[in-house]
Amino acid sequence: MPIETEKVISFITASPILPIIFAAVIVAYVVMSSIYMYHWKKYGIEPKVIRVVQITYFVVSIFFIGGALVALLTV
Amino acid sequence: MPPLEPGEVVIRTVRRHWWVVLSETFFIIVLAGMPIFFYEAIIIFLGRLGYVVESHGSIFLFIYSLWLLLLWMAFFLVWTNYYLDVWVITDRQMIDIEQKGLFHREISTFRLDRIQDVTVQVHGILGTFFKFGNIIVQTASEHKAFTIRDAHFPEDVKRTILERYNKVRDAQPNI
Repeated sequence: MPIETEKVISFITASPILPIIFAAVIVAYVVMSSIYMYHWKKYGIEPKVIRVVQITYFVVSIFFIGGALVALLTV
Repeated sequence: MPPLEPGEVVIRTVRRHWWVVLSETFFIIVLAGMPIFFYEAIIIFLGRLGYVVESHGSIFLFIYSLWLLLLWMAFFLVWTNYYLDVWVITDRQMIDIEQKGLFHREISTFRLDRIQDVTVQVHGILGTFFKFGNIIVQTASEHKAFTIRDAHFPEDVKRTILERYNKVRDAQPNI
């Protein structure tokens, strides 16, 4: 049987679609993170809670971004 | 931080119960697991049709990592709305901050001596079991009634409000 999925895979790996998707998500991430940071700093009541939330948000985000970047470089 | 008068002390902050937030994020948790399920299902399905499907782990990892990043951002949208939607009870007034989305925020304040009645409503099994419910404060001000929905320990919050009200009232015996 022909392997139809190979056409799709070769298109994905040959075209710049993955870097474009990555860049678009990173732009969205930067915009949303800026909005969150603004709200947390301006309206947050408990500084300790805000600090813990900021650290959690950015550490886990870096983990996801790193995973995507490593995968992008190995495709 | 809400605007406070000089020397004013925050007694308590009140937010919705964590169960309400958990129920709002349940959909996000389901969405986080869906790609794994569909990826495996598609490979099994194509395999049964006779196709030889190679596993493209890098592409899956790439898409799944970005998917989780988007869901992570969505979760913090829910959390930010939850966290910034708060009642602040001070020794002089109550501040009702309603966060209705990232760019819609309403702040109402009323002095404790304007309170006329405090009502607690606990509905359903979950509300009774997890101890959350609505608190409605009737005031003599123009706004009349202030409501915080699904507050944690509503009876306890009501007790705090009435204690503070009595202290303000004792300090101003002509009320």
